[in-house]
Amino acid sequence: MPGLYTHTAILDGAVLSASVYNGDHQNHINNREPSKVDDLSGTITEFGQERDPGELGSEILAISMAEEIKSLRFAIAEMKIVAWYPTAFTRTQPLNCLVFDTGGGGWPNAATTHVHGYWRVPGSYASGNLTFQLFRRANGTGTAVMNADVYRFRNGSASSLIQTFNANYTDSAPGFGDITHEVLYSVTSSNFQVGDVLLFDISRLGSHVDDTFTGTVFFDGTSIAFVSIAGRP
Amino acid sequence: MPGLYTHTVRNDGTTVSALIYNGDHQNHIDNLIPSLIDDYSTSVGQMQSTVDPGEVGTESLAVTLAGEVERLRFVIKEMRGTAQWYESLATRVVDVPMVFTTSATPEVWPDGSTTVRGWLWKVPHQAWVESDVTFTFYRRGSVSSGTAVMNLSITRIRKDAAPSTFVSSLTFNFTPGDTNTHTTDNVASAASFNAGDYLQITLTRLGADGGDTLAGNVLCDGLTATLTAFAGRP
Repeated sequence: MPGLYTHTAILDGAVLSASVYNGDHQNHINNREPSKVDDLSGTITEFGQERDPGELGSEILAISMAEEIKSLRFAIAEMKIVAWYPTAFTRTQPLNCLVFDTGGGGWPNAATTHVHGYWRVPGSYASGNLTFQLFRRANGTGTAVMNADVYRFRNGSASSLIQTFNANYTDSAPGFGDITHEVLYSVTSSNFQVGDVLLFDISRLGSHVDDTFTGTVFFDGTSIAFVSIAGRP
Repeated sequence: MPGLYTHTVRNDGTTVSALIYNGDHQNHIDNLIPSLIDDYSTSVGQMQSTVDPGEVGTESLAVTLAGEVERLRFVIKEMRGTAQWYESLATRVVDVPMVFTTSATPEVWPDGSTTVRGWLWKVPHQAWVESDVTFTFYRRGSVSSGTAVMNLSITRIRKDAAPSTFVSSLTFNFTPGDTNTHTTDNVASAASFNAGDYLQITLTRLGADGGDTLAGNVLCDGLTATLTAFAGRP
């Protein structure tokens, strides 16, 4: 596409007066503004084009305004990860936890023990449910009776138990060593908002009659995955 | 530099027909596209040029297209926290959260017994560039003399895999010399882990060991991880 303005055509035999001649040149000057310059988004492909401007000491200089724009897109895309323009991005953040087990392992047998993790719903949260990921490990037979409770704390409100998950743990391959296993829980978006603090309380009822696992269930980590505004901390 | 297109030169005596006249003007319009407008990077200095667009209420309005480019560059640079807007990588220092301690008093490794303090750090999914990570331990003695016998282990935890200890009981003794905070680094090799793995770091004091001569507590003042990350990426 050309520039976004027109030239007034003259006909053969027309007198090229100063007014016409100067006016036609002035027309170009008058239209030298960004809104009259054609885009770099003629197609989806062109819209997505980026260009690596290099690094400090190994700069790759742009040779046109198109390359300047592609370089800016590239720098933005590096921050937003997928591409320069998508708003939403699924981010995984660690959930920092404290293990209330002086043995240091996780959830021992024959006692009620907890792992706590606090997470503040960040300003970058966009929408949708949270995925709460839990890594655990054990080696042996039987089932450990466990729960994962999610509490919500909000300024000026009473604390609220918003969801409870059955988090029982059974080693899927006893005798094959300590293999880390992942389990995912979905925390419903209607239960929280930006700025809330969520407490994830993962407990083992080691003295429960149904707890038949005789060893320790080891805590290997937790994280929260959520749809966020890309590039926003 | 001028625009990146040409004008057909006319010679003296040429009859300026409507075709020529109109065509020469249309040529300017047809070439008004980004790829035929000159760059704003004629030198590294110009490529690095930025202008602060100001804040809400104190806006600095651009007066040229170059000024628009400079303001966009500035915002990118602000978000990345780098010296130049196009730098991909930056050094990031993050806190590593403590997960457990076997000490009755959480912030210390006491004398006279074996106590373990554990941290858990998730290697960032999208930000970490595959390079070594430096863990910096902040320790302090409640007394200035003596040496605490300590060792360090780092274990990689990965989904559907057995834990893999790649730093095993490394001697990590502490001889404070005073009661100030002191840092000690350990560089964890990038070959030992991937993005998304958890690293479990344990620092143990063998307070009952005959070589442990620090007659007091070792206090834990923190642990940080220093890594190379994509600048501006969460």
